[in-house]
Amino acid sequence: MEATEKKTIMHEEIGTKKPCSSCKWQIADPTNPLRGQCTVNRNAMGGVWKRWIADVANVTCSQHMEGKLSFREHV
Amino acid sequence: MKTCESCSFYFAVPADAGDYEPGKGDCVTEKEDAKGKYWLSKPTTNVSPSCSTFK
Amino acid sequence: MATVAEPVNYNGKVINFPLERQEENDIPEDMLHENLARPSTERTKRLKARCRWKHASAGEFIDSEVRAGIERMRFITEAHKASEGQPEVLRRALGLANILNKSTLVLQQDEFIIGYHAEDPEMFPLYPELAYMAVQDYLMSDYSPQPKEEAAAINEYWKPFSMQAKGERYFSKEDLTRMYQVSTMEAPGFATGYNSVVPPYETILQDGLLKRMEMAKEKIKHAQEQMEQIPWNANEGLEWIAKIDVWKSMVIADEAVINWARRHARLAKIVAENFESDPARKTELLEISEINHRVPAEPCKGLKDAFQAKWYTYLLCHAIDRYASGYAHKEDELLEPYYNASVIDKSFQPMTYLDAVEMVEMERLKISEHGAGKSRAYREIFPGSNDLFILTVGGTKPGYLDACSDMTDAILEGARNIRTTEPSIVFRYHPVGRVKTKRLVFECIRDGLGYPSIKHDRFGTEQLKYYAQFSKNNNGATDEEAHYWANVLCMSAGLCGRRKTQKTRSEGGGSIFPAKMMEIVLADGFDWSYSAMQLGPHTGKATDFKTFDQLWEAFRTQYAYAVSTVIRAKDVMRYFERDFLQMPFISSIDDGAMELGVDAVGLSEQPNGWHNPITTIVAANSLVAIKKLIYDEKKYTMQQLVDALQANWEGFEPMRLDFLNAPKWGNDDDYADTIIKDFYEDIIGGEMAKITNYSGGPVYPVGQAVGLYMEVGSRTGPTPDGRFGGDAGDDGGISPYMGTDKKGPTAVLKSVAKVQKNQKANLLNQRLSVPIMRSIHGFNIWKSYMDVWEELNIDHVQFNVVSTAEMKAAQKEPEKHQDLIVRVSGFSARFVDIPTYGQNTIIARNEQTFGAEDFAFLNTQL
Repeated sequence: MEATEKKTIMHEEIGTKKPCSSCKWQIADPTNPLRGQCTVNRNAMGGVWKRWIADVANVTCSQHMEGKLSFREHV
Repeated sequence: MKTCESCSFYFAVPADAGDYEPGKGDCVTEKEDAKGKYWLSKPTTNVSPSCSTFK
Repeated sequence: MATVAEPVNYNGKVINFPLERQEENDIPEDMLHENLARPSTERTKRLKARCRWKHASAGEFIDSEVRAGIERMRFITEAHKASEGQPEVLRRALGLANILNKSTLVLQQDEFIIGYHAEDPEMFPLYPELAYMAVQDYLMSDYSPQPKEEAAAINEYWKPFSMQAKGERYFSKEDLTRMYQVSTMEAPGFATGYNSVVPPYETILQDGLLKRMEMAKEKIKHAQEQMEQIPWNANEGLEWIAKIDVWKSMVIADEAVINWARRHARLAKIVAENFESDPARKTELLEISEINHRVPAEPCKGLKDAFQAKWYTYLLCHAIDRYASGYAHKEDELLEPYYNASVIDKSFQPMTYLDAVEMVEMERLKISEHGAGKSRAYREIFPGSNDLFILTVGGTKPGYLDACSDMTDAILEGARNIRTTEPSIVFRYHPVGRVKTKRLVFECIRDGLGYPSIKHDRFGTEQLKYYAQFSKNNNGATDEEAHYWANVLCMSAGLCGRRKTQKTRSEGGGSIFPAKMMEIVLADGFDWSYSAMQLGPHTGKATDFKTFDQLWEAFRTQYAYAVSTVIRAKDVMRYFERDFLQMPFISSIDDGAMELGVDAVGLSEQPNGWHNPITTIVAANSLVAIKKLIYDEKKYTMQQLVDALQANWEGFEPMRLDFLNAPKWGNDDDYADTIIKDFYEDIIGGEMAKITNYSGGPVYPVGQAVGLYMEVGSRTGPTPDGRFGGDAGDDGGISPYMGTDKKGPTAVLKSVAKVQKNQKANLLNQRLSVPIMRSIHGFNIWKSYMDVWEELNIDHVQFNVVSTAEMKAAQKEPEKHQDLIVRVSGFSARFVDIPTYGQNTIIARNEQTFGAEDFAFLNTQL
């Protein structure tokens, strides 16, 4: 149970094949491009509740999806 | 070897110009894209080897 | 079909609101903006149709052709390597000269004002000497300069020399990580390269650069003579060394600028004689060539000269020598003498008023094409626009005499006609301002441009006089000079003119975010919702706050930490700018720098410190709700609130509604307004005013949200005002939270007017009824509103006049709504270029209509 929970939330996995950097829900940190912002959390009104990603190359989660979203879907 | 000097896009800098140097010229080319025509001017010298836009 | 406002019973009469322009009755409500543009000539119509907009949103450029150029970074690096060992100020001058001497010039079809700042009209330059992270971000993007390997090597070369490396050394890793996130604090300029400047355009137009070079040469000659005095006096003699270098740097920079402008003159002539087949355009190109040979070397003599010299100065100060946002100048007064020469006296470059309007439209389109090589944070926070380009008109001359002129009107008329998102305009409102000009201001607003935003003329003028007392060299603004000001960026007044203008953002600019601070003050300074790290000082567990005052003081501690940290970061940046990022060109056109032999970036004559709290109202409304429901009525405990927030209110909906329905700002509600007035004056302004900045003066708040209310909202968890995690913050600086101002436009004015102490400039962002504004009474209503606003001493207001129907139609079919412009906050944007998240925040703003009580309060004559 604990392991499943850990995989659904953002976590460090050194050398992951599914890093945040290639995920469509991720956009770069406003200042440091090696860090990022996860935008997968969206509320009913279309609000985007971001999470900070400390290392876009070595963090992943179960919601990883390859690709890039249009600017319209970000903030 | 062809040089800029013999290219129709090469225009020697006039001797009374502030940036005049012997052999210095302007390479002026016409471009066009979906948003219209524009012209570019790059500094060059008469002895520079010609480029792909040589004419 | 168009919507017509319902009749109102007022003063015993039934007031109807037929549309002022009858033909609009047939225009569908959701297509209005597409029917309002009227470029004044075929040329400006063509230029607008092919305009190379460089709008960004969510960090991305909208147009896929837009990309970074490499020339600027290549040439400044080349010069830096070649000038090793020389005085830094000369290295800066040689860097600029190398860029200007070697860069590719661009001349476009149809344009009259010429000049660009990159090697292709779709490109923009980068600045590796500023922030290596910002360049790294571009290298990792679709807009990377090419060849990428060369660009990466250049960025690597600059790392140890960059402003970022210099500034970072004086902050802990912890503080840097906190600032770089942009959630409680804006990242420092040394890590982003973001900047703003007010160029002294007046000297270049009035004197010309040849004269400025002569002045510098005379100074050098005098200094050398002084150094050779016998007997030698080291106390005085050694002072001349640094000054000589500064004056020499001016000469190098000005000579390069003149040669660069004259290269443009050559280009126009070559195109006329070798490429152009249209005889009329050929003649025009030869005229362009003549103008560009003459200015900015010589003084301007006519309006065409002035527009061209101003454009070059803009490119140099805002894009080539260094990146700087803004378009700060008092355009109408700056251009008025040249307007008079060309339009009134017809003594040089004779033209009609309509020709002047066309020049304005062409200038607006040049700005609209301008590409800013700014960092990702700033590509996020001005969604739907290129950058913060803002000019100022109107206001008063010394003695509070009306400064409006026909040039003011031409600027406003051109803006109304061409309809571009940028540059935005500030109008300085004063009762003496002529009605004819105010009518044009109204027409721009009524047509939905979102500008002019309105600044209080007397407020801004008196503020500059106040700041003058802190001048370090006892040479702050005189009472006369204090009348000549423009907004530096979107919010604060700053001096214009031949000296004492702001040269770098360390003086004013930058943001802090009270909403996020409110979130973390309830968690002992820990950010549980975004970064999962300690984001501020430990201020104790919220559940231990036995009184409201304890919560208040905990917030003060968080705020004081953040505001001191960000202003320290600005001043540390200024320290290094002074020694390593001199601007010899700007120095050469600043009378103070010229007189004193001090580089303009380091020289501070007029203090004008400010910083920008954004999302203050989310925090303030949260404090009101907590005080009422937890400390006064004791309906809930702090523990219950903390639990509800951690759950993003899920399972706590009745409780959320109580917090949401607690008194809110903007309704003239004494309970809310008393707390919020104190919050602004005691904490937001009071803590900031305790600071002394680089220039020796205090710092005051200028709340104006720009797009940061969206960014920070998305990085902020749920708050006690009933807001969900991720929802946007408040969109002004002192505006009610969207949709919570329910008692009409005059109740908003009454609330906002209560906050006066320790403030510099806070924005009221209002959305007005389209049918009312477009009715035959629109101008009278707006003007009566503005007159009361002025009497109430509210500093800054701006308006949206756009219907929900049109915005929703544009969300469905963006391609049909390219001319739909909205006011975000501090800037206007193309609606369809804003992310959906941001679009929804504008739709959610209350569309204020006016009832009989409002008309009575405003004393509107109908």
